[in-house]
Amino acid sequence: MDQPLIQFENVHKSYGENRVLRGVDLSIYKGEITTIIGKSGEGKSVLLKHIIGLVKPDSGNILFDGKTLFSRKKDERELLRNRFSYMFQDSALFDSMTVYDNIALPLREGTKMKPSEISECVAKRLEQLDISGIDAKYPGQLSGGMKKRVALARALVTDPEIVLFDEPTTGLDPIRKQAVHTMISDYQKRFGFTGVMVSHEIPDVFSISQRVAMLNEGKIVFQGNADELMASGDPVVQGFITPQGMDLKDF
Amino acid sequence: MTITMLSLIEKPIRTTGQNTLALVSILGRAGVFFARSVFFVFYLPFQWRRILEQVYFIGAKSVTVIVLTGGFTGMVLGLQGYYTLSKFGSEGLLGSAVALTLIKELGPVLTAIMVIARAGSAMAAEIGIMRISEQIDALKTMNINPIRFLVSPRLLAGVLSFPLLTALFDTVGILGGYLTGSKLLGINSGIYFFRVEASVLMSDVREGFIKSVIFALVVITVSCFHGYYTHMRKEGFGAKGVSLSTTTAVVQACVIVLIVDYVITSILL
Repeated sequence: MDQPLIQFENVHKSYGENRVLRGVDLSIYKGEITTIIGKSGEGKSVLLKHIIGLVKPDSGNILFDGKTLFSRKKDERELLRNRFSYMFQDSALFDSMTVYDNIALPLREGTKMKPSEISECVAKRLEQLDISGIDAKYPGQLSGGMKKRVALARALVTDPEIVLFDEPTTGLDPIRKQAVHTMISDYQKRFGFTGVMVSHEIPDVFSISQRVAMLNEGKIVFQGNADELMASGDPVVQGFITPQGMDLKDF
Repeated sequence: MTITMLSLIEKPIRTTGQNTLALVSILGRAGVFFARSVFFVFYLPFQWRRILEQVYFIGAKSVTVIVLTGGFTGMVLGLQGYYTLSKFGSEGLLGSAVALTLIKELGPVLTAIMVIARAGSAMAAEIGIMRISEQIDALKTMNINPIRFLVSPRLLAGVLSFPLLTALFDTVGILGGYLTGSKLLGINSGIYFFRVEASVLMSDVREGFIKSVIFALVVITVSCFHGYYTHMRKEGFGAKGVSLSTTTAVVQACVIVLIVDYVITSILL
């Protein structure tokens, strides 16, 4: 198999007494969508934030293209970050800016595009996500689903190489949910970006994921494709993907 | 018994040590925060649009409150000054008393306190909300430096706005003193303005402006600092954390302005 694009090696992270990651080993391959599943509060978002450098591990290594992420020089890390995009769980839209400015910001600040080009690019993304006509509104005037789509538009507007999705479909109705999954899949096929997604949409998300990893009690207990996951004999994995009979306290 | 005695002695020493370390840590973080904010002011390209937006917010939108406070402060100074000076038969010096008090002292200090109340609290709250709703993290993921984007334009806008607001406060205050001193209490208006002109030196005006620039740096840094590090508060999270950050920013900025005022005055006198 090829060398992983991003690799976690025995990564540990604690917040005070709370040991969130307890030796994570995970491989993410170029051009694939890797979905991380697991119970709520297991640290999936924390894991995702390690990839983009928002959180630093207490110990362990994160390799990007075979080279340690945090041993790189600041300039090199900044250049690397330009290749990433991140869609936050709660959207994290700038609430004092309009939808248009939210989506245009990464282009204004990170590229030398002309205002007319930026405008064209933003309009295209709005249309693709079926949210045309809301560009002058503020995030506070939008429904939860619309905010998600604006956040998705902002994440994809720079045509990034690696996109990190933190629960991109939570709060969407089934039709929109399917539309977002299809869109992520289509974009991934068209532009070939590497996607890392945290999701609870089981089994819907398996159809767009080349790889699935399950985080349980601070460790990756499974990684492989969706078929391998379904066939896994691990009771923890089976208990999560077919939760009938599980006690509520387990979640 | 011995163990109890030891713990009784140990506890206050430990608490003092912990508090001292926490204070040193906060001061260090604030120093780095300020240095980075100043550095990014000069970092190209200049953020003209954001700087102008902040000049409008900190400066233009504070005009009404500055005119009101400046006017009434001058009027009170006119009244109080008149009754004090009349005891010595020196009512004619009212113009000097009002102008020097305003230009050297009350103008810069009260302007800073009014801007803290109006704009400083808003800055702390806005940046605090951005922090707890992950908007600052979102900036980082876009490779946008949050201090450059959020703090540096405010710092420069403050440095530009504070002296102008102070000048406005002083002018309106002198006119307020004229209203009570001349129009209400009957001092000759020519004498009032002659005394203003004769007593105020360029060094007095310079002192007021030096103070206002330093106050701007203090007010903007303290307000933005507390908003920026809202998530690191131990006493409260979320909305409560933002409210505590805002309160702390306002109180600390006011107290530091008064302390710095004393230090500058003692140096410049």
